[in-house]
Amino acid sequence: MDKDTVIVELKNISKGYNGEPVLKNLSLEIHDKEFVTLLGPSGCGKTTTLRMIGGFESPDEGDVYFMGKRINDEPPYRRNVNTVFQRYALFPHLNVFENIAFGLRVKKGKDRPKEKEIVERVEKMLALVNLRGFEKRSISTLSGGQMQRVAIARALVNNPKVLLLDEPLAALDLKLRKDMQKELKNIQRETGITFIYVTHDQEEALSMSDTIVVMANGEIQQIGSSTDIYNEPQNAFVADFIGESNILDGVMLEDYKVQFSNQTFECVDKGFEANEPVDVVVRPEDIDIVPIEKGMLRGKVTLVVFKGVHWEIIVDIDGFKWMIQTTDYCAPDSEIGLYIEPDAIHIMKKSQYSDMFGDYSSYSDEFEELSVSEEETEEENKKEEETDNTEADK
Amino acid sequence: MRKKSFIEGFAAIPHVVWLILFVILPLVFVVYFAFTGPDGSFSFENVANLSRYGHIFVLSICFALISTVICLLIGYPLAYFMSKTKPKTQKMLVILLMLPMWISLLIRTYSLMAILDNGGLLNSLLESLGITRVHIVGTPGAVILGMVYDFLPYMVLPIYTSLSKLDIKYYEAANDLGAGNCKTLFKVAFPLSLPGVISGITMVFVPSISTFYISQKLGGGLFDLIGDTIEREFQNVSTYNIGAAISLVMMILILISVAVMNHFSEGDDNEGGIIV
Repeated sequence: MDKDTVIVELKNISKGYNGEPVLKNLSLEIHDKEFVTLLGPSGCGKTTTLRMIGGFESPDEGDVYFMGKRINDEPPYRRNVNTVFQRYALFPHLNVFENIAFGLRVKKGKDRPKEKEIVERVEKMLALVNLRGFEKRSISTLSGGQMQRVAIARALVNNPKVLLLDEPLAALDLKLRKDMQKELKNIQRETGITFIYVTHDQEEALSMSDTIVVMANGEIQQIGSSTDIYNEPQNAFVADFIGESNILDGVMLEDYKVQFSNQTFECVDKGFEANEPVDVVVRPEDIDIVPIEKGMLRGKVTLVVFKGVHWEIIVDIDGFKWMIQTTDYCAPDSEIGLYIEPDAIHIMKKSQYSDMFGDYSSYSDEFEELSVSEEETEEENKKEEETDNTEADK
Repeated sequence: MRKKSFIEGFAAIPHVVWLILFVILPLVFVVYFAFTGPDGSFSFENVANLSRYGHIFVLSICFALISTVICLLIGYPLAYFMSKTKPKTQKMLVILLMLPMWISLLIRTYSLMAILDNGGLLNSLLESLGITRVHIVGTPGAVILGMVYDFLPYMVLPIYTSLSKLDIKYYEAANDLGAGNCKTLFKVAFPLSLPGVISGITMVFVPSISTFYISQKLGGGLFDLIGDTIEREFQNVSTYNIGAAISLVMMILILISVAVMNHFSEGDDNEGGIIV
């Protein structure tokens, strides 16, 4: 099979719980050997979509196809699909080896491999996920990262056509998460299995996926490669959710000419009606700081935050707070000019999400929230280390 | 800190008094009577003579084992079924299951007798339908039926608790890996609910082995079990000491079986099982 074959297809899927719609007329094609990520905030329906492919939910309306066959009524155990669950769901009464062998041992009659083959295949999986020598370990002695690997091995040993991963890295700390991202990507390349990956972490999605499906409110907002999604967001929601962005109200005066912040800018977009109201996206890293007299826009620096690689500064321009990422330091309260290249301006049609995203005036609050969650992760790290230490002692 | 521990100690006093008065003291009496003769002098005679009650012990253990196994065979599927229903239905089923437990065991046994007796409800019904009477009361089956009827809730409840606490993700993971519902039950649900099974077994086996009125009433007095023997010996002042000795041996028997059971469940905990 080649990359163009559609392996999973969802057609006009609708699903609701207690009258609350979770998925609204969703259609999606997933191609063979692809790494597809369903990305969206919690409650957007991404996990429900995944569970529908796995067979744990059935659609109220619409059909699920697997390799061209309608599988709406196939139970999970008859689908050639395996899942890595969010909290792993490893069987606590079985050791690592038996957890991985589970899928092989429950096969019926002729399909069940001989004991020798089971051992071979489990060993191969343990090697793939770097857990050789862990066969006899009980699940409760494993760290989060190790459990994660066992869960992946347990799913892959069945040679599924499609592997479903439900926020598999959510419980790991940052460093481990980064390592596992690379490893997952490698495993996907080595095995050539289609991965359908659910996450709310946009960075994770951008760095791993061949295709990203951005979802919100039970609807698909955009499907595309990482660069498509980042550089050409379809609407204000996608622009806001993926990376940082300054989203402004603008008016498309004519092809290649847009007006926002009381200025007219050259841009590279066309095909809008004359004087059509639009959403304008400018990424913070695409804005250059110039001396005030040369600036297309002029404003006052209100906040400067050091981020390591760059500075993040908030600039007040006629009451709208812009975020700019720059390697040049600007003193707070200084007046600066901004310069924006035409190809840094991205024009989007107005959508239901247009007015939901303001400027960066609440930025400092956001920053505090971020630092709180970082502390939490650190605590988790500590726990992780402790388990690792006890393992070393053993 | 000191003050708090003083208050805590103070709060424990009624409990300690209770334990001494109603648990430890009676136990001391049992041991004392077991090792004294009718004249009050120290003697091993009671314990040494217990061998003539050997067949009673064997019969009691057999009855208790059989009814425990039947309770498990009926109780596990029932508990599994209960844990799979909607939360509202579950609550109702638990209440239904507990309802008979609000009535005295004695009354329940009598009512069972009223149904099964030769002139009882069941036989009247059969007769009116033109079917011959069945002889139930006075058979070993009736005793076992009584035990199962009386103690079944003690098997179902701990297993049900175990199963209902079992995360649905384990069922989903097993399904996902290709196990149908039957294999999921045997390979995942059952092993993970073992702690519940073990406490269920203990909670049925212990009262079954020591029960006395069930075999008297439903067995028609034909089967002498340990409980009945102890009751009889204690009703006669001259055989007090023998009754005490039998009680002592039975207590040790129960302690051993509970210890064996606990050992099983501890072994399971080491494997990461769920503690009830």
